[in-house]
Amino acid sequence: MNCYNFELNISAYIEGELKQAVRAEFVRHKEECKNCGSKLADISSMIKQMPHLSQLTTSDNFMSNLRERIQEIDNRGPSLWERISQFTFFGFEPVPAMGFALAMFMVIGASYLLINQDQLPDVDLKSLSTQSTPSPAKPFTPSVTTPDPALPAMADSDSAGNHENVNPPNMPIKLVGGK
Amino acid sequence: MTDFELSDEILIKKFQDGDVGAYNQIVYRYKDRLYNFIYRFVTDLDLAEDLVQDTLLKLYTHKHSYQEIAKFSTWLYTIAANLARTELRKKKRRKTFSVTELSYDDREFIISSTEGDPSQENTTRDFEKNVQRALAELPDDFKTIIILRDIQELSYDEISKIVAVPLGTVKSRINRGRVKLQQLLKKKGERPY
Repeated sequence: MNCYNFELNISAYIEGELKQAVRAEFVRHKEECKNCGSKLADISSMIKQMPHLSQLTTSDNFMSNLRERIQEIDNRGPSLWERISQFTFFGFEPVPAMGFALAMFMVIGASYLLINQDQLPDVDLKSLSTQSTPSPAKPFTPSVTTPDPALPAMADSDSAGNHENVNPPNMPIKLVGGK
Repeated sequence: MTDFELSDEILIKKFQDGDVGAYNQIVYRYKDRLYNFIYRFVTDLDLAEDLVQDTLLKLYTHKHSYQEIAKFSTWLYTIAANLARTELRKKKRRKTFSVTELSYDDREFIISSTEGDPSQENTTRDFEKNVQRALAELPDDFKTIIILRDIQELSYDEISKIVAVPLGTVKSRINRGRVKLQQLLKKKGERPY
């Protein structure tokens, strides 16, 4: 075990949570490494002392201050949410009652729309369509580039192929760089 | 059975049913424990007392938020820890926090283990001051866990619920926190043994 691993296992060792094999390695390292042994002793001692730190007590007027603040809250009365949550509708619990009311509202709303379907304004769905009319196809006019005399080698290699076969029919493409 | 013998969970149930006496009993049971926890966290006695009051007021106004799926103390410590963390964040934002603000000497302390031995009492006081200063320098994540485990002596399981991190993370943080705390104490020349 090295010093890094030793440090990682300090708390587990102190609290007796190390497995037998790791514990043996830990103890061996503790005896071999002075620094680690001292660190373990320091931490063990610190842990022993911590629960015995002085116990603070709240001030004498703590309870009276608290009572005053509670009194303020009581005088203010319940908040809006508390009033809603405490409200009972014909003996129903508030949350199920609100859920039920919402469901009823939606059913009534949907029924109204269905009944009055004929009176709904006519909407020309075609005019609302976002699909545009297809534009007529433009004839393909490729840009013609003059051959660069500085690139004979490329032109030579290009000319090796049979370009006539590559050309699509009826396309006025002028090949560049040929012999 | 008197209220003193009732468990926290029974007391909060009684309070939820409208028994204000049960609330008072909970307050008496927890006010000092929370005070010690929060003070170690914020290092300011007056602020700590205010935050204990805020915690207990939250208990008063949100009593129905507690459900008996968790231990009552865990729930209460979670409220306190959240309030303390928020306050500490505000303080850091204001950048007025300094360990020199410590008002440790302003109050009387009950020294439990060294009564009657003045020299030992002084050593303990020095140790406490150094621990408090070292705690103030620890990152919040480590500090909370160290206070809950080594000062408040809560179980790993409870701490895991309070700080809402997995048990393994709590264990690794406590180890790293202890090593850091020991290094800080050593820097301050503290060897309390």
